Amino acid sequence: MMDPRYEVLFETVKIGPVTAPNRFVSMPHAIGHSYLMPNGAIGIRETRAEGGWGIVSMQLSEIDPTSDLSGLPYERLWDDGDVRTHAKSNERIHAHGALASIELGHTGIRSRGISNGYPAQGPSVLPTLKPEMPLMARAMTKEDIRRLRENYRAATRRAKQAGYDIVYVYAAHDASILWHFLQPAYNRRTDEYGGSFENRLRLFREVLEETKEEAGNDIAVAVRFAVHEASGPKRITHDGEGRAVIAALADLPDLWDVNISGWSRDSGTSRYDAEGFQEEFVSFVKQVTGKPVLGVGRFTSPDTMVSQIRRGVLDLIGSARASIADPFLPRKLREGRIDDIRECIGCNMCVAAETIGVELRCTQNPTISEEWRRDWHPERVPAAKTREHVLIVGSGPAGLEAALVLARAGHHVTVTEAREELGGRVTREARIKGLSAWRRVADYRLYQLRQMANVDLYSGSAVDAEAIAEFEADHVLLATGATWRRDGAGRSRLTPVDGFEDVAATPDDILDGMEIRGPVVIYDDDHYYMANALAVDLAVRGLEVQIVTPLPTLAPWMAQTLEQPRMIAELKSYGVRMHPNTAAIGWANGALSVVRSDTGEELPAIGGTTLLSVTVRMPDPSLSEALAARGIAHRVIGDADAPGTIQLVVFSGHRNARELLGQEPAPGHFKRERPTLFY
Amino acid sequence: MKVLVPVKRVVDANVKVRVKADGSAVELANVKTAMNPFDEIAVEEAIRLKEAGKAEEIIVVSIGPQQAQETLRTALAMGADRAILVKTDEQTEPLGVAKVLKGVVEAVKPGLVILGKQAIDDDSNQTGQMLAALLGWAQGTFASKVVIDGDKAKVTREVDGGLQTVELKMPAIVTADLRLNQPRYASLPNIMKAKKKPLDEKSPADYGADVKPRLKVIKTEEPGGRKAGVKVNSVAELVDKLKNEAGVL
Ligand SMILES: Cc1cc2nc3c(=O)[nH]c(=O)nc-3n(C[C@H](O)[C@H](O)[C@H](O)COP(=O)(O)OP(=O)(O)OC[C@H]3O[C@@H](n4cnc5c(N)ncnc54)[C@H](O)[C@@H]3O)c2cc1C
Ligand SMILES: Cc1cc2nc3c(=O)[nH]c(=O)nc-3n(C[C@H](O)[C@H](O)[C@H](O)COP(=O)(O)O)c2cc1C
Ligand code: SF4
Repeated sequence: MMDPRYEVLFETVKIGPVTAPNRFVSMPHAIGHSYLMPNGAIGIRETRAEGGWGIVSMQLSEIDPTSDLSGLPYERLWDDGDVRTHAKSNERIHAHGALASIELGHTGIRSRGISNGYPAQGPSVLPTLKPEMPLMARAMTKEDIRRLRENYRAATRRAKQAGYDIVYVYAAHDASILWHFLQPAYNRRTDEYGGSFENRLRLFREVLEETKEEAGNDIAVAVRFAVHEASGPKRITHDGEGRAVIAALADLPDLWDVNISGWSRDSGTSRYDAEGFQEEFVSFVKQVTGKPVLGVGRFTSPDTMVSQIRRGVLDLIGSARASIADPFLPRKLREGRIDDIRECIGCNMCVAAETIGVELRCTQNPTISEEWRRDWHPERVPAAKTREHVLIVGSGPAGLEAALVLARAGHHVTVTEAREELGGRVTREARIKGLSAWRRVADYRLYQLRQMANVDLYSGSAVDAEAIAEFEADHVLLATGATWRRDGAGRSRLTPVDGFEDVAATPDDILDGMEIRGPVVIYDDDHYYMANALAVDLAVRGLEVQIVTPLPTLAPWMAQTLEQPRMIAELKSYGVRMHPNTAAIGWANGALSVVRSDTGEELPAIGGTTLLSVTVRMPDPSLSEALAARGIAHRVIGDADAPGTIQLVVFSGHRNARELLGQEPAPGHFKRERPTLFY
Repeated sequence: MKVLVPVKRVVDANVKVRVKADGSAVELANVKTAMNPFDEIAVEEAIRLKEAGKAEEIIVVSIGPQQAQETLRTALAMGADRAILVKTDEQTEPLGVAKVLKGVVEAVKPGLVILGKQAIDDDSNQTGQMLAALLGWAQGTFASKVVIDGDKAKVTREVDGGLQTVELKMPAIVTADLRLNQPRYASLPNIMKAKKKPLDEKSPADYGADVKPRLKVIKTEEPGGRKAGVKVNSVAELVDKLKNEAGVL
């Protein structure tokens, strides 16, 4: 039964000519499938509709070939040939009673123009918004502008034909041509499209008016507009031109979808932004327009959502990441199953999957992108044929995820954990400053497992091969994790560094509560969060900290999660000194001998009392070997198999459990999307 | 001296309890069960007495279905010496259980019986008291401290007004309250070792007891939903609200 407190979230909302069945909006977000993999993409969107989201949005969809993000997995509605796929997607969304929306956009000077040879275009001749790519955008002529407007109209007609209920005019994320014209830093035109605010707004207004005209009385028109630039040129602000745009176009669209720019700030992670972090920038919008307002802010808590509605900040609750982590969030709320919600941890592995150009992945939800091709449902596991007993050694993310899948299938599952505390690495790492939300990976699974009669959880219970043999389980899974190397061998250098072994501390030592004395020299050959998160954690304790890394920048993987600039700023604010492009060659007498990574030139040694080595994690194969020696069949899963990100090890737990259940085809042979062959 | 500890299999305290759709009872199908937490405390106290040389043998007993065996194994894994399962599929009630326990006491002849003060499923808080009455023994209920001295037991009780210490002549009945101790954990290796400890199976009839239910449940309801909360801006405001709105201070 639904808690009456949340009823407000299930009220209908009128948006122009259409009515949203509730206030939950699954936001436009790239899912890594693009127009090339429509089946998997439909699987993702249909699952959202089934899970109760009132509006399910299509990601950014290019209106014509001059908007070219190829290489990044986006959608397109270039011509009539694209309509069929969109129509099929909408049919699946509508079948569950949800509305479908499409974010039509042109990416302007964020385009690349490499793939199909049309150069990127914008208000003026400018470098494209990727300084590391040697590309320039051309200035659009009046004729180009006319054609763009016509292409927008045509795309709207196609969207209508495909059955969309809401069509977007996209002007956000520093990734829209309408935004680029508005932005004084990019628009150097002297004609009626440049100069004054009204002139810079002209194209935006024209496209919006013409989209309204095409939409007619059948479908609604939404605008996605970033009211504030938290990164980028920072010229459009919520108390300046951002506000002026809303005031100027106030009641023209049927729905205002407002957020902040750039994407890295819009999709802020839990390490840097609290839930509801966009409120201070968007709360004015409802005072300036009479139209419904939709916003985002890594909302996962129904109480925060209700509060946004009650306090008049938003009318519709938008969510990209919470809907990735739990496509069934609205339905669980409606059924009074709030404890069953799988909460997003705000890690942005979903974003990283998109920026490296693969299918959407999620730390909390291993079934994402597998709905169609592997037939994985986020909530249901087919029943096992007979009830068998499974022993899982290790209660980290991999062990717990496997336990949950197997227990849901009906097996009797026993999880044994050597430490006093369940949850493995996530429980431990969540104690590091900034990472507390990561605990949700263990919390969600432990809560579920603790409800089930067919699950036994034992902490403080180290087992050896003999104990496992004596236990006589039908299946054994080893999810015993991995430990950090101490000898300096890492990702860029595979051999030990002189003087590290026996002397260096590792992240495991710190998590075990080892007393650390400053100054601390951290050697980061891991390149994700651990070294920099520990640097901050130690700096907060008042220790002097320096980070040395052989790569040209600190933690480049955090560029994929959009966190790198925030992380570097954070290190700087805590006085952590950074030494990129610096390779360690030895540690002796309280000093790290270093050279430039690229040229090999010697650099001044870096002194400290404690050396903290953050390089790679290694599994311990001894238990697996001992079991093999006794002829006991078993699977090694998660970090114990291949140390990876939490996302990868949760996936490993899930996949291995499904394989054990006999529900998986031979490895690698899931359903494939096949391009059409014309020869 | 032998110590007898009755342990009950109940819905695990971590489980979110749901009432069956027809309101007849709490949903128990595929719901996780565990040893009643107060019984864990009772088992722990017995183990500590044994570790202190005040007790020689700890016998745990459970009256319930076959699955109550798992609850007994947990007690054995914690450190009890042997177990008795008095098997019944009847819905057990305090009086029936106390009658069985009387029979067990007469057979085992313990110097001390430590029970939990109540079971967290029916919250009856009666079994220990009823057993004391049936046996005509002294009782120290809601114990937060137990000191054995010769044939006397000094029991500190948690009562409304504070702490009360009573001296009991043994053999006696003690019921454990929350703060008596922090029970140890039954690890998996210990659970496996516990499989080798003796576990006898009996029936209520073996002790001449009748466990037929005598109580009728009229209705089972979930507590009403929580009302929306408010966020207070300061401790002063919180105190004010507790005083003047909630009236709890
Ligand atoms: C099985 C079982 C049954 C029990 N049955 C009963 C019973 O029927 N009647 C009874 O009276 N007692 C009962 N108790 C005992 C009772 O639960 C505990 O005595 C009581 O909860 C102790 O309260 P506490 O606040 O000291 O600690 P805790 O139980 O640890 O409560 C701490 C609470 O305070 C919150 N908290 C901590 N810090 C802050 C902060 N800074 N600001 C806001 N909130 C904070 C935490 O989130 C947490 O919810 C039972 C205990 C158990 C284990
Ligand atoms: C993987 C990913 C891809 C995204 N792609 C788009 C996109 O195509 N178009 C868009 O307007 N926003 C996109 N966003 C931004 C989201 O729509 C949303 O504004 C942002 O993530 C904040 O919402 P959240 O906190 O609920 O995740 C994307 C976000 C994520 C996480
Ligand atoms: S990958 Fe991380 S941030 Fe993205 S939805 Fe999943 S849990 Fe949330």
